[in-house]
Amino acid sequence: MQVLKRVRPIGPVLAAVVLAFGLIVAPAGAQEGPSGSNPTAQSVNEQQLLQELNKIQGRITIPDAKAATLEQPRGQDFRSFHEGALPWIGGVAVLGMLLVLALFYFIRGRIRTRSQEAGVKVVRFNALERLTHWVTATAFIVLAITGLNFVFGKRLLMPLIGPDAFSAWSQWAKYAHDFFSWAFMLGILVMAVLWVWDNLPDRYDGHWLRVGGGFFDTSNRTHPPAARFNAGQKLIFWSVIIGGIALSVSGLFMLFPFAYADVNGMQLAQTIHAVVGVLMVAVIIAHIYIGTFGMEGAYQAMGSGTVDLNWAKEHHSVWVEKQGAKTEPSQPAAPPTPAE
Amino acid sequence: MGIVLTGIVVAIAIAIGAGYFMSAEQRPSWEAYSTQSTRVGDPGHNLVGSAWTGDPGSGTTAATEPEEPSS
Repeated sequence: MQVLKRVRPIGPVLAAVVLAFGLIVAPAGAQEGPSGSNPTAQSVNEQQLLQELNKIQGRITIPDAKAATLEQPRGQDFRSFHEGALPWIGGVAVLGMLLVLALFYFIRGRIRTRSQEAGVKVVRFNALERLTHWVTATAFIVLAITGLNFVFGKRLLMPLIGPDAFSAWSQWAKYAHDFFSWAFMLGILVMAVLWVWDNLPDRYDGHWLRVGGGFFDTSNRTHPPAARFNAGQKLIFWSVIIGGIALSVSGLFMLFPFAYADVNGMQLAQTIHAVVGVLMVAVIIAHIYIGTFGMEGAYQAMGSGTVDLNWAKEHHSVWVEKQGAKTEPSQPAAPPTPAE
Repeated sequence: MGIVLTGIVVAIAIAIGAGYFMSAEQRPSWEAYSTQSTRVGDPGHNLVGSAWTGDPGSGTTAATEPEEPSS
């Protein structure tokens, strides 16, 4: 008992020393297991998970399931493509095509009809064909302008009009892009049905391509035979149909985001959509050029639906002969069907 | 020219119809993904702030700096 009495005054001091020693030693001891190993150092870390699973993903309870993905390296590839390669692809395609057409115009000039007008009009496109063309054309122009805004807008337009105006314009451009896409898809579908038969390859295409359609003959004497559509028009047609289908399918993925694809699928759809889109803009610029300034009489075919007989003979001689053969019994004087 | 204008009108009509269809079928993400516990409400304005330049290198990403806590 006397020993206890002697110890009692120093009891609190002893306890404090023991506690302090425990606090100092405990963290070091906690890191080591019974065998002396360090379980934290040996556990799977974030980098290993990323390498094995190709993404870092967890579990969430909010309705936005895709928010569970924290990291996925392909997103960096997509961003690199979208911010780096895509503007270059688009710029080279669009500006390159404009440059080529400008050079072609200054060297070759406008392709004129060699013969005088015959004064006889031939029906080239009926009302349904022209309506389909102009509905699709209207939609495509809206889609092209608003689509190029996605790629170049913040680089070219925003410095000019400021972030507020650019934000408002881009929001409306996005709506226009979404809504006009349906007119474009419908137009592509109807175009394919209307013109696929006349755009199948035929025996005149090879020769037409070999002589470049006569486009590079400055004497304007080369007019290779062609049926209703020549090889150049067929290339435009198939570019529009195949490109249009690619744009439509990839566009539907984006119109209904994450309904048919995960984040990687969405990025793939955007990549396809953007590349095909800028390439198609370049192709259609060439189509617009040759259909307006580039060739005399070409616009009338899709504007009024009729062309002069001599124009048709120069550019689509085989078609004129076939039309004449069809109408010969009733109208022997004028081979093709005269327009009213 | 008449057929060109008709084509433009038809394209606009299809676009308006598609707009109504899509507006009826889809909801904005802030509405579709909201829950009772996590809700940002109708953003109504640009969330990055009026001073956003769009240039990631400029360092200007927010309209206002956080206020200093009153001591």
